[in-house]
This record gives sequence, C-alpha cells and structure tokens, in this order.
Amino acid sequence: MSHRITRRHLARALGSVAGIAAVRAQAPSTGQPQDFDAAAQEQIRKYRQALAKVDLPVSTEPAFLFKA
Amino acid sequence: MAAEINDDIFFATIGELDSRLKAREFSDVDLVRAFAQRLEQLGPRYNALALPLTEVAIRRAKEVDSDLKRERYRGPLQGIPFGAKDLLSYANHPTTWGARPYAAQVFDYTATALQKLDKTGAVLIGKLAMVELAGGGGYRFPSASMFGPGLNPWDRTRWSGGSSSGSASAVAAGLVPFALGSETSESILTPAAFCGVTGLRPTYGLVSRYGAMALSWTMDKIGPLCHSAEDCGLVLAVIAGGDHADPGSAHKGFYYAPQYARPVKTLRIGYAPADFAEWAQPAARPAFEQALAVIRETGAQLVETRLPDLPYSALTATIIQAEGASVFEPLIASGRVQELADAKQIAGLKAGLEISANDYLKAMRIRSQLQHKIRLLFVDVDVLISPSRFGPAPKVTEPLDKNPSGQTPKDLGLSALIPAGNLAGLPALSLPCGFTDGLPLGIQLVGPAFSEGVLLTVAKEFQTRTDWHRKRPKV
Repeated sequence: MSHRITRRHLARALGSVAGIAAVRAQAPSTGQPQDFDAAAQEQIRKYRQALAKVDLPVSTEPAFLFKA
Repeated sequence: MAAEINDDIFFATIGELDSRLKAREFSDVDLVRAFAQRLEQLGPRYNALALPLTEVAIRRAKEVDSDLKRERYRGPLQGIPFGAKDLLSYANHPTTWGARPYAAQVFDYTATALQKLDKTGAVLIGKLAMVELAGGGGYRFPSASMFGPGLNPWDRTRWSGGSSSGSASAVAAGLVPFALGSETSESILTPAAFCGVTGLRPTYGLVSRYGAMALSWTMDKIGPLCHSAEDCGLVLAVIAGGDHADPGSAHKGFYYAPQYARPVKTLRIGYAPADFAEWAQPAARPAFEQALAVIRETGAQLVETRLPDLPYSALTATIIQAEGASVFEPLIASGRVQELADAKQIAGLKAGLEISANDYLKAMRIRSQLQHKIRLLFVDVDVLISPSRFGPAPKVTEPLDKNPSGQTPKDLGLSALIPAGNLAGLPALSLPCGFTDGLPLGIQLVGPAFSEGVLLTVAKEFQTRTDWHRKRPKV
C-alpha cells in the first residue's frame, strides 16, 4: 500500500489537521503546572507503597518474556 | 438503477454491506464516496476526524470495482470503507498520535494491520482522532487531544471515551462501518461502551503492532470497533496473524468460524454480584442485571467469582508510565512535551522518568503472579462478565479522576477486570447492553488468551437475543 504524496497533498492534509486543531476546545482551567508535577510524583510514591505491600517468593521472575 | 445510499446503509453491518456490494446494488465507488463524504462532513461534529483520505479511497474503490466486475473475490471486507485510529502509520500521510508535537509527522511505511486490510480490499477513508499519545501519562480531561475532546454521538455534551475516541464515535454515528483502535488499558473497551458499539481487544500478540505508536511494549494491542460482534470476528480474521516486524507477535492466526463454536449453554460464565449491586451506578443497574439475565437465558452456567486481591492501579500505572516515559524521553527532554493539551498528562510523562528500575521490576514480578492467578481462575470458568464501565459517558467538562459516587465498595468483585485483563494480555469484548438517561452502557466479556472465538460466540448469541447494537443516535 504505497502512495506517492505530493506537496499539494501534504499541504491539504496538514491544513485539515491544523484546521481541526484550530477549532479544538480548550482544556478547562486546571491549576499550576508545578501542582501537577508534585501530584504526579506523589502518585508514583503511593504506587511504590502499594507494590511494596505485595509479598513475592524469591523465585518470582518478572514478566519480561511476556507471552499471553 | 443504483440503490440510494441511505441511513440503512450507513448503519449496516459488514455482512449486509458485503451482500449488497456483491449483488451490485451499488458500486464500491458509490459506497466509498458516500461514507467518505459523510465522514468529512460529520466527523468534525464529534471531533472524530484526524485526516480525510477521500481521494485515495475513491481511487482504491475503483480498483475494487474492477476486481468485483471480474469476480475476483477477496473476502467479506472487500470494498468495505473503514477508519483507523491516528496512531497507525499510513505511508506518506501525517500520523499525529493525537498530539500537537507530532502534527507534521509522516512515516514512509504502513502499519501491518492496515496493509492486511488493504490486501483484502477494505478501503481506508480516514484517520480518526484519539487522546494524545493514547493518554500514556494519565490525563485529567477529555480535551487531552489536539483534536479537542471526543464528543459522543448520543449526546455531544458527553465524552466519547478514550483513547480510541474517534474510532468509537465514527462507528456509532455511522460514519464508517468499522474502525481500528488500540488498547493499552481500556482504550477500546471504554469508548466502545460509552458510544454503544461493539469493541474487541485481542489477546496480546495476536495482531501486529508494527507501525503503531508504542506506548507500552508489553501491553499495546490493536483491535476493531464495529456494529456487531460478528463484524469484529470478520475484521479480526483479517488483521490477526504472525509478524516478524513485531517483537511481541505471538505468531498465531485467528479463523472466524462460528459454525464450529462450542455451544454457549455448555459454558461456565463467571460474574461477581458486587459488580452489579454495588459498583454499578444505581441508574445503570437495571440494564446490567437485564444483560446478565439474557446470558442466563442462553443456558450458560453462571458462577460467582472474583479477582485476586492485587494493586491493579499501581501495577498498570507503573508499567505504562515507565515504558511510556522511556518511549517519549526525547519528547520530554526537548521540552516539547509542554505542547501537549493536558497538564496532568505532561506531569505524568515527566514523572514516569523517575520510576526506578526496582519499582518497574517489582511491578513486572507481581504481574507474573497475576498471570498465574488468572490462569487458575480460568480453571473454574470459561468466560468472565462484568460491566465495561459502571456508568455512562461523563460530561466532557468533568475531570476524569473524579469518582462519581465518592464511595468505593469493599468487595473487589471483577471491578478491576480492565487493568487485570490488560496486564494478563487477555482478550475482551464490550457489547452494548442498554441505556441510562439516553446514554449507552456496555458489558464486557473476558476469556483466557486466544479465546476470541469463544467470546465472539457468547457475544453473537447475546446480540441475537437483544437489539442494543442496532440502536442509532440521531446524527
């Protein structure tokens, strides 16, 4: 499935993307970025605590070679 | 005289469209042009359209017509228009991943799933909008996309769900007969449930991820959103299969053969009463209970069960955030991560770089245990059933981290089935099962790895006994 793309095609495609993006709804006011950074780091700390509560046999290997 | 392309056709299943195409009721050019124009015209109404491909699609439809004229049949998807989440690359056309920093990104190769659909004659008519970077950093508002919030065709003040937002809303509004989406955790099932369409998340490794944006190498899956379970089976049969270009490929195929399926009445289906009586929002409970009653009527044996107690949110978030932060490290390092739309998403991606190797490995070791425990659970049951989401789509202005009831039931039940199923790489189907306040609800079926055939059999039986999947929003 290979199609040649001309500059005109690309401009039209990007124009479409930009056009849609231009009318995008703005995100509601969500506070200061540093608040979110602190909250994200705090969340990771809570996840670490939750994982630490799980007892694992020493023989448990990570699901690295992940096959369902 | 060619048949008029009307609403009956826009909301038809793949099987119905295939019959009418082969009967020459209309040409493929007519069909593709009608869908492509509708997608271009109505897609922006739902912020569903990322990139129209009308001209390319009509050229491809002419080739399909030529094949049909010569009776060169390539299968039930031949000539069927479809859309694809803008996370799948399509050679020499923009692939934005829903994110402003990648608005001008163009690859010179096409995703394997799209190549396979093209080979069978399905016609790509547009790329569909999505949550930026499939929401890997965790996002707070539906507006976390360069295309704006996905709007629900049943009520445009409501979210279409994410991250496969445009894929679900385009199918629900009859803008495409089917679409491809992707799920790392919940990104097919949630939009399918919120928009009232049928969505299939395949077993990890069954569908090639080649050409798809990587968010989490160990959890990403590509799957279809359709008008019916049968359509999902037809699409999966085409896109499944081994691919040496995908290191996670299971090198297995899928053959949709419902005629050889095990009868539903011989199946044991696990459910948790707490899901229906405590976790489900009160207004949604009658629909979910009715769905369970329909399953009971099939003769299947319903068995009470529950998930093992594990920190599902912590596991999923640690693995996705760690892998996602590694994937997007160049974006974070460049500072262009700040161009993303959602502040929580930006912070989540950045914080993901701080997850230690020890935390990631601990999560992956617990994941091994989870997989073992889930295998044991499937000794007693063949399929699990639970509400896909416990209520309808939220308003687009509502923060997504708000708990609607403010309470968390004590009994876990199967309430964490979406993260558990994704961590274990299991297949799932979300089926429309009713409405509350005019908004669709979905019920999910989950089975052991590579049990898609069983799930589709149960789903097909459910959809012969109900007509929720036939309901259409006013577009």
